[in-house]
Amino acid sequence: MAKSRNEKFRFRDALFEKFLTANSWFLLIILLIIFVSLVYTAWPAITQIGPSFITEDDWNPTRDIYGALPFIMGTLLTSVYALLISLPVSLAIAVFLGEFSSAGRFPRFIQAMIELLAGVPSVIYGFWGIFFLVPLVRKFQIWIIESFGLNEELIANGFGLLTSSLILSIMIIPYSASVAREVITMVPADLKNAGYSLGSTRFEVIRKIVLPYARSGIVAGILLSFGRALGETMAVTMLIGNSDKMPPGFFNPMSIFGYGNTLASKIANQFPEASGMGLSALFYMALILFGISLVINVAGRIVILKMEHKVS
Amino acid sequence: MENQINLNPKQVRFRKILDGLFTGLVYFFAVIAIIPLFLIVSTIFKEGMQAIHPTYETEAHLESGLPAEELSLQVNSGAHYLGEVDSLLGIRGDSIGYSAKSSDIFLIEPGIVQGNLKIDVIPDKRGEATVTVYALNNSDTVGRRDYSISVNGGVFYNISTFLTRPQPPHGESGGGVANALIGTVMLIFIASVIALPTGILGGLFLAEKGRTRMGEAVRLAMEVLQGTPSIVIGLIAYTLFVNPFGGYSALSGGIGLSIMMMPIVVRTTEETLKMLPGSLKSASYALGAPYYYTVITVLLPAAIDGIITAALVSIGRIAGETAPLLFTSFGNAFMSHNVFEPIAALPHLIYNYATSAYPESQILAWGASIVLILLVLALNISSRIVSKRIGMK
Repeated sequence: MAKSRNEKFRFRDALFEKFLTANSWFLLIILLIIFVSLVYTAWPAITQIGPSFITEDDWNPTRDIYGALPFIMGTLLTSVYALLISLPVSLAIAVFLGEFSSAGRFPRFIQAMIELLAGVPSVIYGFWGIFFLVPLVRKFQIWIIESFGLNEELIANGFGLLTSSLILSIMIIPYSASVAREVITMVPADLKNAGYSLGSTRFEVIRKIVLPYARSGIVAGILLSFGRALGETMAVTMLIGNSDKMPPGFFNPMSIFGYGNTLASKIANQFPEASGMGLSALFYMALILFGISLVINVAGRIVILKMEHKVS
Repeated sequence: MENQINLNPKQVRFRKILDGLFTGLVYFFAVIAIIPLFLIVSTIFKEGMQAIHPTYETEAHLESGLPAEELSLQVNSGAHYLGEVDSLLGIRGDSIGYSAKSSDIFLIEPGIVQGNLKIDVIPDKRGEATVTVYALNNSDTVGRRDYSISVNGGVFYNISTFLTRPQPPHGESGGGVANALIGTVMLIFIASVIALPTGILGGLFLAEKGRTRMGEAVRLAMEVLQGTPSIVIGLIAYTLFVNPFGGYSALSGGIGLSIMMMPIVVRTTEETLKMLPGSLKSASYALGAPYYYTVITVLLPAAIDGIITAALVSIGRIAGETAPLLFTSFGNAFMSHNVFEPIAALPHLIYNYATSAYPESQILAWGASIVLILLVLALNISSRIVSKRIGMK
């Protein structure tokens, strides 16, 4: 007996819903597969090297010593420096686009330019860094050596932590700028107007009303761009000078001459020749990198969510 | 009370100065932010145009009867540019190049051995070019001379040549980005075929059942996926699709890229669908249509602008990605249409040639950067146009 139209519809609807659910399971499973395959390939390294991977500061595959600390430090250093350099710029853009003028052709132009900055591929950033930044940094390094009478044997060829941090800072500006801008536009006008009516200058209103109100959004933007900086591979690989030694510590002035590697750049550089335990160690590093950016990104999104709940 | 309104004129002036300083600082930093963009784009175009084979024709004469080391080339004044493909230096010879009669002219393709002569041309930035003539004896270079010639008049850039020739070996000029361009297109195609249907259906699911536990899980998964570093995704694609199958392939690269596309497609589709008026769905139900039919004939067509935006934005994201391709599609010096073989890609090409020691390779990398940045720009602008049509932010 032929099905009635209703029966046909219900059958197809049930099928469609199952199809949608299956597709969603597929999306979830992708994430699971990513995690599982990372752990699987890293397993030999995890079991043999263990947690000392994170504290060991020597990377010497020929002697079977695998320590990821130099690369973790390199990753954190470049990302933190990049964040600090980009922070005033991002905040300025956010304030400019959110507070000073949100309509009009010039702000829209700046807005478009910022979005374009985000769209430039990272290899082009790296290439331009080699071509443009490296000579500049080299001149700067030479100038520092000469004016402070430092050891002439210091390597001053323009590559290293300084250049990578500079390029990273340019790359992450759009992320914190756009999130911060959105929050700043959400500050209620009556709060600001109350400040103005009491005679505050624009600077004071921004400093005492807008920014504190937008604080969580700004923090979210910072976390987001930090996460972006942590995972950036190509531009950093091309500029960081590829050294396996421990980089100079935080705010150590020697960082101007410091070489290093980030987790991502080490993986990119070492992978073609890696095998066996070395390959496993690289995947161990990828797992660590995955974990760090996971934490930062999820934290950023949580802050955004809390912010949206507060506003609505 | 420190929050009293302070109308002391001196302090008011001080606060006004502070305000002015602050405003200046904001403008200053805002402009600083976009200076790198202009620098990057101008550098790309300035350096990259050299790669697009300016061609020109000139008259040149060879002195006859000289041994190879004394090969000399006389260039007439009045050299000018022509728009002909592959027309280069005019040198006519009988057999061996260096016994040519003067005042005869024929054309030699750059880089290609013709008789016993090979000619290479490297344009300089200032309207001059360095011509290198190699005298060969059974494909051994027995002599070479460099000449500097100046070129007047208009320059015709050979975009079509640049886009149709495959990449040259390192250190050689000429060549183009054809294999990388085709590779990028193929990778985008593979990635889109996988990511677009999956992502659209995912967005549909989230728009319908976003508040359930499953919906929250999917949303979280997409957040995590979007924040994953691209090199980690490349490693995954290697583990799953390169190692077991014993070789690099375009397919594995496309799969890696599709994983990066999915979160964007899901999120944008969900937002678009949520922005549709609820009356659309209700009207369809009221007319007796079931859910699946409503989706196909009402919701998706209404959301098509947002879906196109999702596609354009996500493609723009992956068009410039290199890290997932390093260990998957691996790059290929030749033109390839095979998805099961390694394949070149524009950003990958740029990475390889930018870090090369040869200036000729770096020039090619700049040329490829022009193509890539134009591609990304086109995607960016079109996604902006489409999203404006539906009023999305």
